[in-house]
Amino acid sequence: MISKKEFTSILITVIVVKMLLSYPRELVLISGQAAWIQIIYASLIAAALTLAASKVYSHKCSVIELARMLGGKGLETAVGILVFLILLANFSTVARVFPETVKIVLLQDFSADVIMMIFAVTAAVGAYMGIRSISKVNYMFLPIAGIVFTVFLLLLIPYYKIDNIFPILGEGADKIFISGFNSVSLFSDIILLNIFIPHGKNLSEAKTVGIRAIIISAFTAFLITAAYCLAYVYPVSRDYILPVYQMSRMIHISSFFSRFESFFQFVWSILIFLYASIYIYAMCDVLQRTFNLKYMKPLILPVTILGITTAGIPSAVTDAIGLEKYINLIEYPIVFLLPIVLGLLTRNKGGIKNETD
Amino acid sequence: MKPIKAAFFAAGLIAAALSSGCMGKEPNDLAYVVALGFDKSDKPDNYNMTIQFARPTNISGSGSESGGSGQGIVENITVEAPNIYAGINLADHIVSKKLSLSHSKLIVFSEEVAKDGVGGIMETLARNEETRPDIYLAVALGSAQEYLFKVKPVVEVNPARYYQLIYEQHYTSGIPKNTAGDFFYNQKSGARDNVLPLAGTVELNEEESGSNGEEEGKESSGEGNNPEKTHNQLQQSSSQNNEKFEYRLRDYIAGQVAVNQNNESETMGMAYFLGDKEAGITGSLETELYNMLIGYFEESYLTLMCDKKDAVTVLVLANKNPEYDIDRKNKRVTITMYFESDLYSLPTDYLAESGIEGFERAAREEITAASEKFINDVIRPSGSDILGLRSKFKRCFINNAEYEKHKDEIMRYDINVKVKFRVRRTGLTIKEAGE
Repeated sequence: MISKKEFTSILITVIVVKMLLSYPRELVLISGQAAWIQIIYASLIAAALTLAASKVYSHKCSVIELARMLGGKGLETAVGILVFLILLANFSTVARVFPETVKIVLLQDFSADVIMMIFAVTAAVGAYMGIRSISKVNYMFLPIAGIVFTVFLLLLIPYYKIDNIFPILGEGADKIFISGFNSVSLFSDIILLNIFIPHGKNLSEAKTVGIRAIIISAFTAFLITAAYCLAYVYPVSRDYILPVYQMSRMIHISSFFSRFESFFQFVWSILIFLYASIYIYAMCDVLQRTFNLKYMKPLILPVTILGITTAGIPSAVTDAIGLEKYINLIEYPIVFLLPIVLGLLTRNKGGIKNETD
Repeated sequence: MKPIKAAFFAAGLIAAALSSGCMGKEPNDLAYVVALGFDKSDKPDNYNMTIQFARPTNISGSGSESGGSGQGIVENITVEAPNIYAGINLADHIVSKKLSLSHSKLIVFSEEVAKDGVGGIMETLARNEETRPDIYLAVALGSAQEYLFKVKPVVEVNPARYYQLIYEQHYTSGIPKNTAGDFFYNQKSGARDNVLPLAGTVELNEEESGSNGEEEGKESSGEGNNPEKTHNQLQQSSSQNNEKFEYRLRDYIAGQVAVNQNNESETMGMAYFLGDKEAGITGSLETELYNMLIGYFEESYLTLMCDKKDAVTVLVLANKNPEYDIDRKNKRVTITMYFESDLYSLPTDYLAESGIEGFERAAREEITAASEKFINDVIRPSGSDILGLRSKFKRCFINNAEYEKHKDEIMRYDINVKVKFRVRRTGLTIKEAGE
């Protein structure tokens, strides 16, 4: 059982981690210096979809169990595999981009393969400890990350230039509101809410967790995007592979304080390790539920190997980032619509209703 | 102990052991580059790249109680290469330690290189993680190599700190502020054209240069204390300013200032760019006006002509950033600057206190006239947008497409300057009429 706050912190971590990689750049590529408007728009849509899902969801069980309730074993297996593939795709892109970027910014003399192996081992060990341990560590670490992040945004104030966000609509209203619709994909990790529901206390708590996680993540994403748009003039902001890292390099106060990126790299690494552990655990959890397996822990090693092998498919980091964009486009409609559709169709069916464990 | 616990324990021990090392980058095996200089080579598309790196043993003072000083704290080597990393790669064959750019503070381009364009070098700096975005850039009058060779910090033994102190002064305004990061952002976005400080060296006459050479190895006793190498031939080539703003001061550029010093390098004035190419240079007085107009002026002494036809010096502080008001209808830009000041030096028979409003009005008029002259005589003919008018113009448009269509029209707008100038304090004395 994971508490409400721990559950919320898990969802915040998995959503916000994308913002620490190349996601802010993806936003800028669509709408230019108006990316901060785009993220507000995407957040509102994501919040509306999550709210809609919470209204129709009436069973304290994961989407896989809802599928079984609706269509028996066949549908359960199909949905289980679909959800597993979505999680695998999410994990693989991060598992590829993170070691490559760590090699660029931190460990230039290390092979990216070695970094990836260390990453995989850490993720597997985390998953092995179980969701309670992960959630408690995550809950303890998130405030530290929050403090570093707040200090980071404050230290950037001298570098913010209001001229950088003009013209106010950037590449145009159509880009923000039509092409920008796809940036709802930032919140696609919310699928974990529908997977981890059985680990929560009750359904109404899970619903609150979902909305709260979306609000906090959206606010964080907005702050990061706004800071990026204010700190870097467009089109320079189109070019940086790791926007948050790039901003951390700007900070220097006279001669006694510079290289803030060392703080950032620490927080960044821990958050991504937590992300990876959560994902490995979630993938194993999905497989266990889909195939009604007695034990979950033996799955950790093969799932980790599968994730890392899939992460190795793109030949270069540019391919991985490009692939991430397409994966996001494909998966976000499924992620948001699956709980709504299954929730609607199973609304009047019997099963595990809103009771406490 | 269970096997799994033992495995975690072993993993923890290995991690602790690995964390204590530098993972292949031992500081003792690195030579830290503090400055790079780029001169044109005889070969096309190549540079003569001067690499100046620190000698840590001299900085830490192993040779004497007072630590190292002068040129002993740095070493210079020059290689011919098409770009920074090709040059570093060559130099790594010469220097026993691996050269690291992570503490670099300055990159100097010769004027020839600056006129040809520095976009390629800036692209390298933006792409690699080793160099910092806050590296200072400068244009050397003459050779960048000569400038770096002649840098001999006297009162500061850390060369990186020396460059920081020289190029990031808050209390003078004779050089502009522009880091490598700013240069790249401005050049790539077209938001404004860049300016860079001018670096130069003093020119001693032949006889005195000889005596300089003989004394190079000696410890210097302080800046400006060597009477034998005094005469800077370039000093008289600077023009005397007879305008009311900075009355009777010379409009110096680097190399023209000092007449008596051991450190033969100087920084004064600015080079302005069009895109990534140098378009011209200005002296210290125009640079001061530029700093005022752009909002980089923080505090400095200003000498103005009073009604006695004599000089009054005030300490001026910019208490607010300048405001740019763009009137598209009348095609006019109004720049409003805000200053407060303290009276510092007055002629004995001048009672500024009794007519403070008159003095403030005169000061406003003098700064306004000098600023407008600078805009009309220097900025407009060059076509260089060093004031960043285009970036301010962005506010007038709703999206990028519209802005791109109209962005150049602002360069044809009239520019008016308004100055708010107040005298706040009179120093420790206050004179009354009738004294």
